[in-house]
Amino acid sequence: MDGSNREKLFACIQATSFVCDELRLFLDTHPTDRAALDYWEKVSMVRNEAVSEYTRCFGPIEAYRVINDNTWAWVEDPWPWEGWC
Amino acid sequence: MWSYERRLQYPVNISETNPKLAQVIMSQYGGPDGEIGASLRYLSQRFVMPNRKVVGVLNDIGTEELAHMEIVGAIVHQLTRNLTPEQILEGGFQNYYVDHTLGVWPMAAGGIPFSSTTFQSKGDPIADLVEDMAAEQKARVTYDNIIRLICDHDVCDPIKFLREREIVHFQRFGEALRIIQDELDSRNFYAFNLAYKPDLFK
Repeated sequence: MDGSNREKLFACIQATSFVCDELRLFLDTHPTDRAALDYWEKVSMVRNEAVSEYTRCFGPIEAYRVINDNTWAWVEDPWPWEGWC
Repeated sequence: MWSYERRLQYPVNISETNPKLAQVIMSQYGGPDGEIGASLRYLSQRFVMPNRKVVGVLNDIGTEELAHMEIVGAIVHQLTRNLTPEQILEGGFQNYYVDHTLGVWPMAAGGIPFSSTTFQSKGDPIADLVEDMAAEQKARVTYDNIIRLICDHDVCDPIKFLREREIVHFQRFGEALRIIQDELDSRNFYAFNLAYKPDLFK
């Protein structure tokens, strides 16, 4: 996996996460809305796969999902508030 | 970004209400050495901390403190749940009750509202980490003081867990301070601020 794949995968995590955040709020007050329930199923599955793939190839983004070789990977990467430039 | 898990880090199951104790324990929710202040202190200090390992310590302890805020809130709630007006008066809970009913509101045991003036984000790694170590000790002493007032095992058990975490956090912040000191001039740690480089002496 190269840099552009990393960006695509990260963008996918960002997008599906926000859809889940928005759907969660909607479903909290509309718990039987069939269309929203189906959308949640679909999007949360895509998000899970994207997070697993990203974690395996590029390092952890969730504190409970750290995969290590011989060293603790959690604190190695830049923190999100550092920005990209 | 944070996401919520529907669980307490340590369980709270209190069968007997106790409004007197609730007023004391409330201080670890929104008091001067409480969990909200601890979390906001560490999460605010992260941004300019110059070492990634130390940022990790601030990030992860700051996150755990949010879970501790939830535990203390659960204790206060279970100690005051369904109090009758008679129990409110007998327990001296009327001054709190009149403003907040049985809601949980961040304040010190003496009634002083939660304030960010109880902590610093100084933008200097040594100043911030030494404050963090002191904060963990102050919180530990507060839990010591609370434990002396508790007879009920259901309340004491989660409080003892929280007290132990203060000690572990103190240890980790001590290591964080040592990591920072290793990056400084060993003949004068205070010659410059790792987080803000302009010359001190012109």
